Amino acid sequence: MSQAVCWIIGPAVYLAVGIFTSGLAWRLGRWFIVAPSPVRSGIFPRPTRGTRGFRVIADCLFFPQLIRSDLYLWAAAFLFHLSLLGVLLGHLHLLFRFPENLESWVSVASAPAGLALGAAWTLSAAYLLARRFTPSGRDVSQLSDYLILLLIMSIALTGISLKMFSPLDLGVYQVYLQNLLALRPHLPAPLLASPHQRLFAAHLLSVNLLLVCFPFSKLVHCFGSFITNWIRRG
Amino acid sequence: MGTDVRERAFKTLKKQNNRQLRFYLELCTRCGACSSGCHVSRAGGGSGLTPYYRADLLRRFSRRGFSISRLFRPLKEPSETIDQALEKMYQAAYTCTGCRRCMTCCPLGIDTTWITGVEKAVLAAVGMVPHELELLTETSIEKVNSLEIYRDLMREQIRNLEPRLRQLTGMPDAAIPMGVEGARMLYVALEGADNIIGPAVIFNLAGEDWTLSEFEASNYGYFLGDTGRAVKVAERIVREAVKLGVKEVVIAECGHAYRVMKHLYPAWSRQELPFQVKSVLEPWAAYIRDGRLKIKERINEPVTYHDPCQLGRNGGIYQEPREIIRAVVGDFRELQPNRDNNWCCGGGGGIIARGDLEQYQLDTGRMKVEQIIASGARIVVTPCGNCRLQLSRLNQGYNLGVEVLSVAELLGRALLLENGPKTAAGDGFELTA
Repeated sequence: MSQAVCWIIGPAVYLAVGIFTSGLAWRLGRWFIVAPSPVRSGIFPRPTRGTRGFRVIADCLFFPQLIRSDLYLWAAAFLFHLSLLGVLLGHLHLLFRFPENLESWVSVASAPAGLALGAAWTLSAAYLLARRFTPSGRDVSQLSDYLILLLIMSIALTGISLKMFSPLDLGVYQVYLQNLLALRPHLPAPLLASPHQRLFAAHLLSVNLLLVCFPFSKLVHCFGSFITNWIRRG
Repeated sequence: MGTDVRERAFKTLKKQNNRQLRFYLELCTRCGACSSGCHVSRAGGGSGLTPYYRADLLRRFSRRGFSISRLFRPLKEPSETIDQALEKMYQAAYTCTGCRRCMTCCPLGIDTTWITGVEKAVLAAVGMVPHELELLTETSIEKVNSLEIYRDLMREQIRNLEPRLRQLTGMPDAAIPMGVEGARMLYVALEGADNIIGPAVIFNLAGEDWTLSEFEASNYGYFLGDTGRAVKVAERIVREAVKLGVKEVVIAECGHAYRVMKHLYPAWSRQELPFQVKSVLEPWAAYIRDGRLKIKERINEPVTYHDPCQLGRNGGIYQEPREIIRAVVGDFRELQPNRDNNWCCGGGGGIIARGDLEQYQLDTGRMKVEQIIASGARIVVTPCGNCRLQLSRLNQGYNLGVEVLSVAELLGRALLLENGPKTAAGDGFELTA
């Protein structure tokens, strides 16, 4: 195994997570260090006290405003976020095994579900990327928009490849992650011996890069949108 | 220009920095949904003036002044000078009507108008403001100082209106009271005699305990984006209301004046007002509900209603005008879309007062024009002076052949058909006859 691979799946992960958490603290702190303006800028009609929270959560999870203004964009964006959620939930399987009777079902469903979610994620990201090359898309795009989407597609494609073609047992990855979480970046022997280590390293390199970019990019909208929607509904 | 301009611009930007602005500047995912919600982008009349573009100018501008980008400046000098950046901002900020329809289309709820508002504040700080708006603002503020001279003149003009008022109402004691202490309601009118006599007829017929404000409702300081001056303009009315001890301050049929007094002034001045602020449509709808106005004849032509952005989406008045119209109109048709999704007429943000933007006004009104044609209405009613002016220009420019009326004018027709016959101009309160 090359040193680069060892570094990417070992220390680099800690470095990326470190930058991610401290960067995020800095970014969120910057928001809250300034006082809000007393001007209420909500759109009328205002929801009643009891329903405001529900409206805000619905706005953030389903962004119904986009349905009206751009249906295709809404469909792609919704599929994108939904499959992202599915993929993240799927990775929980790396953390623990289900009870035995459930585990057999999960392991059967795991590959097709992973493929479907990964494909949905990639394709919706591809649509979001493609629309940035249209004349109107170019007007609202910056370099970072393209790069972030490419990074996400790289995460998705390497992830699907690992899911579909890796000869390694799930247990190997579980051991790897457990070691990582226990701050003992000890790499399991089967992984070190596998020819798929490069693919795995490519997957983790993309994730590391995304984690590093995250706090300094527009991706923080996943936190901020709850507040801006709260303001709009108030 | 040079360092002085740079200093003043960034000082203002720093002063305008608050949590909302941080969110609005930082969260945009650049999806472009705002463009499809903006009447300017949709009509294609603004040549590239999308909400995203208008907001992004400030994002780029703020990166010149603050934070990490300062470290990289020697490496990456911005390609445009500060004067060029400000000039672009001037073109963008003062051509936005501030309707906030883009905010209803944004999946994140970003208020682009908040950002253009900050752009206007920065521009005002370096003296880059539309001349007409500044002049109108200064005139309003100056009025307080020359009130003594001005007061007698105004009272005389108002007295001259009263014979016509008595004729219209058929009431020998009908009057336009001014400066009445302890009156229930202070009515703040729009400028111009025809904007006063219509409401005066309605108040007299309903037996309201009211008094007319010495000041006009419009607040050009708000359009200027200069909060300090906007507060000064609004303060004149607040002082008058406190002096007279009224329970309600009722704002004429005007979008921004209502929003400023009801929603913005209390936040800007950080004080709770000792009186209620209402749109004049609220008491009028109540008169109809309580049977204080006798509708003499219903209007049979198809009528539609245009929600002024500052009164509807940004002010919360949707129900009252519809109540009034339904009471006097047989064939009421909603515009599609309406209420918080209604298209802006294209005249807001002070644009209507600017001679240099006439073609722009016509071009950017296209969505409104299509909406009105689709409704098939012959009369368009709207309770906002700016909207009425813009709709009348669209009516002419596109040969729509509709009538544009205020709610008072519509109501006047239904109340006064016997006393005041319809005139060719369609003005229910024709004064010169």
